[in-house]
Amino acid sequence: MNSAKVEIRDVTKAFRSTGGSQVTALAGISLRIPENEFLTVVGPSGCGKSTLLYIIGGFLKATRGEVLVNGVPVTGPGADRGIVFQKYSLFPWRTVMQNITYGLEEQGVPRAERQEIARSYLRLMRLEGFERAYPRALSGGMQQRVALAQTLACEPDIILMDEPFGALDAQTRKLMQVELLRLWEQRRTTIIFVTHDVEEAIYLGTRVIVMTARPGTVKHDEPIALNIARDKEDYMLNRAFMELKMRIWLNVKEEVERYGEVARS
Amino acid sequence: MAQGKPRVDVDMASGSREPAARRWAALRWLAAGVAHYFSVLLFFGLWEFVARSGWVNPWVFPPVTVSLAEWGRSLATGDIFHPMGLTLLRALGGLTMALGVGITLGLLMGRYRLVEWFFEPLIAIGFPAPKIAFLPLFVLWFGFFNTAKVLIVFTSCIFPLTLYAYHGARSVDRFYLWSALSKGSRGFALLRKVVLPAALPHIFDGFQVALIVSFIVAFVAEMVTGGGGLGFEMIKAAQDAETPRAFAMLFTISLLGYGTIKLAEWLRALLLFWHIEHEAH
Amino acid sequence: MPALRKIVVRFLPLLLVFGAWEALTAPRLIPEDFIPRFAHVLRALGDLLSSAEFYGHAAASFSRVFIGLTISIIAGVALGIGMAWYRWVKRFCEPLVVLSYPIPKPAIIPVFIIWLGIGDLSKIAVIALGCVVPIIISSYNATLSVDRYLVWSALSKGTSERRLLRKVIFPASLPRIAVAIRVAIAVAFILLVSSEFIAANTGLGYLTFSYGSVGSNDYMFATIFLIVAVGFSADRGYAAVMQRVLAWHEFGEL
Ligand SMILES: Nc1ncnc2c1ncn2[C@@H]1O[C@H](COP(=O)(O)OP(=O)(O)OP(=O)(O)O)[C@@H](O)[C@H]1O
Ligand SMILES: [Mg+2]
Repeated sequence: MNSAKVEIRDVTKAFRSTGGSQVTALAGISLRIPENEFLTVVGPSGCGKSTLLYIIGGFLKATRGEVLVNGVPVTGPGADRGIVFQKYSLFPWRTVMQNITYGLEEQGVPRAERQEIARSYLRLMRLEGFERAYPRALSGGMQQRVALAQTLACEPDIILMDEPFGALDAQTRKLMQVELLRLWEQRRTTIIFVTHDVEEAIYLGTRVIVMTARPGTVKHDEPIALNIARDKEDYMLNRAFMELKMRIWLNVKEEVERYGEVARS
Repeated sequence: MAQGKPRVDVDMASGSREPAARRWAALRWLAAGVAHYFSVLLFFGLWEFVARSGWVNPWVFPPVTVSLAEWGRSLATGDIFHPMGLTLLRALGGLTMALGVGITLGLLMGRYRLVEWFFEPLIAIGFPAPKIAFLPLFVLWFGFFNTAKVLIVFTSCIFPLTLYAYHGARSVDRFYLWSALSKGSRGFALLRKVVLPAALPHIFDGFQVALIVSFIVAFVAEMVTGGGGLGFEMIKAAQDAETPRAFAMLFTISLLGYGTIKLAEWLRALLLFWHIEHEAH
Repeated sequence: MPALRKIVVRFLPLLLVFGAWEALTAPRLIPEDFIPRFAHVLRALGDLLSSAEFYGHAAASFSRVFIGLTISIIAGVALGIGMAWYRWVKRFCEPLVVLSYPIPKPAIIPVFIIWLGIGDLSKIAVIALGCVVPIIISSYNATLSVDRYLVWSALSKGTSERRLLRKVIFPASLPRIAVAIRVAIAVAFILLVSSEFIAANTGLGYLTFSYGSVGSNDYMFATIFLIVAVGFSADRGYAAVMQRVLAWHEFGEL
């Protein structure tokens, strides 16, 4: 009966700051994310989106509540949950190729096979010719594509993404969105994708969550059932799309204003 | 990990003024201190034990309490203050001279191509080299007295001071310079009003290195060439088989080292209040 | 050859200094026993470099630095990382490190001479102890400041906590440890020369002093130059090697 891929049960997270006071980042958030869902999460800055992902990833412990993955409580990080961080976090001492093969290496995939898999992702991310480059020689957008390839190459069961395209230029960003969507349509990996861009959230997600300002909970939960081909340009001019965008944006705006904080854009 | 345990409410304990509670607080404080410095106490305890066990020659390895007593005595009678003053004078004398020359030279190198061309290779070679090797030369030229010691300190300190000032001057944000130039600052005024303050964080890095170097070099020079001072007294005590006295000198110089490190940090906070320091960790 | 020209232009000031030296000393404007002629220093340099005795002293000095540094690097990196990784190591080592940090390192030379005599052992011990403290502190700080996202990234790709040290923590902290080792090399040479000045019967420091005490100033100058040259080349050689090993990292000058 428990068919949820990821189940978040009443998760609360409080940080003790240096002054001794407490900051409640998440206040009793509950969510069920079924298999194959592409969940996108939007919300004002500082509402606990990253924190939620880190708890699902097993990097942080919830103060109260728990997260179940395939019905089993999360106790720590694992290779079943891949993550792409807000900030590029490539291993600077490894070349592009070595970065992409890292996870495969750790899982004991034989060398020849690793190389082959990595090469296909290199092509996918349009990084051919940079196999031997070190991260510092790459632009921000290229680094983020390597980070994406590094995580995808492990073929995790669930992918957690924390504003992965936030630092990319507009063009690269669009290309990456199309690429990610294509990949998801092929594999139907469960994805939890945090963004501050409402349009991106609707375009990519099969379901959008709007979080409240801190302490974060779910404010608005909306399945995206637009029956149109996701060809970007047409899609955005669609009336249903615009209505949806307006509705979600108003929800976000309300939270931003309530908190008196300006969302980054 | 202390996370799971119930937290002791510290404010309550210090708030109640009953003597019993205060005694408990003091005891707890003491226990925490012992727990924290456990390894240090163990170290000195072992030292004391081995020294008193009769396995080793007390000349080679005197009990730490005996050395501490000797230190206390030399502090109480004041006969440590004369050598301490000499060492301080030599270290800080050489350092002060090097400060004036090194910072000026470094800033000039950062601003004028010709000065840079002439001095850069000399500084680049001299900086990583052990300048203390010139000590016999300075003795040859200036004898065994203060001059040679002050000058070897000067020589050792000038390299880090110049190099850091030079890097500081080179890395001054060009928009500061353009802004000042467009307001009519030129030459020396530009150096003093813009380059110097902007390079100050770097210069302070150099100063902190040079401060430690000055004490090390003065001390070594005293050990090698004599003429009074903590280094000389320590070597003399070692040669005269007065090992506790040698340790008393070691304690003194360490305390001096600690004091200067703290003084430099304090000065830095005082002078560079406008500069956002990167936290080390 | 533009590269050669660049080197000549760069080191021309050095040649100018030497030229001025020779110009002042050759006509005996300055007494020979005060500053020897530069030409004589060069001659002494040639002599030294072709004498077996010199290489004996150089080997003694070099082995002291090498062994002392090796010990301090291995112990320092292990303790520094250990302190960051295991609470009990930190508990034990931190007070000792804090206490020994402000001791000016040459001040331990007389103590080690009393304990270990004037041979190799006291010099090696002084160098090892003098260099280990800064290496411990840097390794500790470097390990603690490893980007947590790198650690998390590795954990989410199946790296176990035990492998983490080798796969992430160590390479990530290597650049800062490398800088600390470079400082340690400079400190090691200072300690070597100082301890050989104070009490020794072999080594380059000893050689310098013994030439000075018999009045062979040209030879004394030559040995000093050689010590400076060795210290300088050790630094540059290390920097060049590290630039290769850490090709992925961007180094500043200094
Ligand atoms: N280690 C920490 N210690 C104290 N407070 C923290 C810590 N980490 C996060 N917080 C606080 O928790 C709240 C949520 O942080 P989080 O990074 O999850 O926000 P976010 O929604 O991802 O924001 P953004 O959109 O800006 O990335 C913030 O108010 C932050 O100040
Ligand atoms: Mg975030």
